[in-house]
Amino acid sequence: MTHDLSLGEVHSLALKAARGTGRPHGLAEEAAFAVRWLTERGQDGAGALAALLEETDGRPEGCSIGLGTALSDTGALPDGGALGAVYSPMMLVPFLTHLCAQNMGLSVRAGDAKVRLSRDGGLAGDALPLGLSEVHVAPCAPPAPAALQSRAHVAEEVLRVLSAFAFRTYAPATEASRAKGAGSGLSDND
Amino acid sequence: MKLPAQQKVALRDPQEVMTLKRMGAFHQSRLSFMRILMRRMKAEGWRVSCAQWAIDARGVGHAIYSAQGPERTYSLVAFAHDLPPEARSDRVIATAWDATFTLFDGVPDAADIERLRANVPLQEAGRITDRELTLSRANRSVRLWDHVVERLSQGQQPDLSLVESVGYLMRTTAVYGSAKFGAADRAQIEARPELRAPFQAEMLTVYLIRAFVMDLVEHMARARSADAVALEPGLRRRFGIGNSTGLGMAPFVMNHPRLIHNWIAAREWALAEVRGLMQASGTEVAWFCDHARRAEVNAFEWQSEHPIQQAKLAELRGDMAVLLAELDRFDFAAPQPWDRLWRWGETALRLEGQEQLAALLLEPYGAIVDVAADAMAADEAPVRIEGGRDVADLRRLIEAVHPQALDIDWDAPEQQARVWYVSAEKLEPRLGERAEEDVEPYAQPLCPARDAAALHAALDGEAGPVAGFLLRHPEHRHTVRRLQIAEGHAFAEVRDNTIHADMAPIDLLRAKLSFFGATRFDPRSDRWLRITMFQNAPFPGEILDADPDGWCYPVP
Repeated sequence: MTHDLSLGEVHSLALKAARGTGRPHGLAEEAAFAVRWLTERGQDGAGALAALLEETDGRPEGCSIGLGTALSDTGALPDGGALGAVYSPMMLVPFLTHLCAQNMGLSVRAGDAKVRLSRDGGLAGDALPLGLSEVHVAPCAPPAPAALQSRAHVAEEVLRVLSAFAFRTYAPATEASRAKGAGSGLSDND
Repeated sequence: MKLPAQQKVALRDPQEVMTLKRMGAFHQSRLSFMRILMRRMKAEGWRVSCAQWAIDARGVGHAIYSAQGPERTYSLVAFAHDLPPEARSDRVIATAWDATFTLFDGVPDAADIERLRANVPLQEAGRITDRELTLSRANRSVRLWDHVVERLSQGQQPDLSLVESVGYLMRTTAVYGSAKFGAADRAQIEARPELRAPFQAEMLTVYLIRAFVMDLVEHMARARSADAVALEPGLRRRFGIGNSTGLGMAPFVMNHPRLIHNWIAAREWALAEVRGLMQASGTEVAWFCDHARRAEVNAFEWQSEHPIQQAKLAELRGDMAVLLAELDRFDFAAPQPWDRLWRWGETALRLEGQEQLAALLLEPYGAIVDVAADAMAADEAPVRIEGGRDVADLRRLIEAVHPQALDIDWDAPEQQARVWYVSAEKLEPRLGERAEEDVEPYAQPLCPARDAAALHAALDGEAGPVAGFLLRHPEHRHTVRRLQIAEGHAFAEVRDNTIHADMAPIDLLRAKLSFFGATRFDPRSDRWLRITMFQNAPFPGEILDADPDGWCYPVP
């Protein structure tokens, strides 16, 4: 069973879920951007994030978001195109778009699967594996720009996993916070 | 759209504008979202009709109000309920309301209505789809509601002073928009001219709710007696829609830096345009003076029981008297009259008066300033961090954007007294006391000044590209992004400390609500309040012949 979510909802859920695993806010924001980017291109961004968070909860090693943001920040790819091994390599892909050379695409290979992306946000190919995979990139012909989807279809299990991580960001309700925190305990009968 | 940059008068300094005290003194203006909507509806000849009325004598059922623009139709679907008094609560944690609403994209059919009936009354516990643009609910002002039904059913009009003292028959306790609870994302509708300016779907929702509520109260009076009369049209207009809002709105101001910049920059641009005018015509001067007098009436009609607001009202009333006295002797014939008046106001008026003057100066100049409404939306697509730049740039940026933050002793308890967090209970945003509650682990990044100062300290001894620094210090990534946004968006950041012991969240709320076009800002504590929307505005049947702007100030 899948759930129909707005892009804003899937973005917000991804942000909280990533934050719930202890990632700093800035990286959680990147995770949310990536999930939304993948979702708009018909990929299961939420599923890719859920798999990543389950493997890297409390451990930074092998985090595709960490690698993606580092590459995006430096603006350069390593010679030879071997990026190392990360969990859920699909989460890396959105960070690589501006690393495509002018008028060129980039192919991202993990295991037996491969996707191609372009500077203007085109994406083609199958989903990459969810587990720990060595990732290789190489220049290629750019795919056509993607027709963007406007909704997310998130599997029940993925929703459950992300919601559980997100829940960690909420402070338990106490009588004190109920009374003080929001500042109103008044009835509306006036 | 980008506003022209060349202006005779420079925009105000963001360091001066983006303080909590000044933001807490903002007033509605020509560029408020309600007024943008009303001008469009009039200019484009929008037709609003009650497409369906299926509400019984107990006031239970549903109704549909359709607003037809040049290209598209939007329909308010309203569900009216029979709510026991003990269930009536303003809080977001409430679970039942007198009426619940959604704005449907198009005209709903019977199947849509049944789907919505199963979800909209549940609000946060239900689901809507990308056919819906907003989700809202409202409770009656019981005292005024009962009075109006009673009077109308007896063939009499309600008591004017009671109507004036409350101002509305129902108040909304939430108007959720873009993407919430399954609603359409803004991306899906932002290309439509009628929804491009911010919060237009939300404003249309509230405007149609007002029409529905007035029809409902008359329906209830008729259900009670065959002798019932309708509200007299002049009196009818005095009813707005109330809104009860709280902390949930405050984080928005920090979470949407580009959008907030565009709102404020549009208004500041408009103010600078007017100040730059070399002459003012007699008509323009008369228009301005008339609105200034009406703003003074508004300052006296505006009531609040909260000490913070009472002090502000005293300031505003005092300033309006000073302003009106100055207008009597002011030389409007000398060059650049508005700039001279503005500069006079900078020393003669306090913050309330200055900000009221800023709003009033735009009133005669719709032909010049209304275009700025087209620049108020924002592209909020992710911004890539420019990791190749040197950390020295970041340091300079912090010193330029947050100079005050660098002078604050952040170890002093009062400077970090507060924590913004979200409660597990219905995901309600709350503000906690760092020293008294164990909520630090749940802190939201809603204190840009403190975070910028912390980043500045962390940059001590650092050199080289930002990318390298962020690899070692990912905890500063959020702040680096904010600063790189602020570099090109001067009004993006609140400069004050938003976690100080004395910070009043209602200042942030006033700033946001002024851009909505709210009036009668009435805090009930330092963190929640009530406002009135669309009070005195023409009803749908009147709008084509009415002034879409003039209703915002009372007529003496």
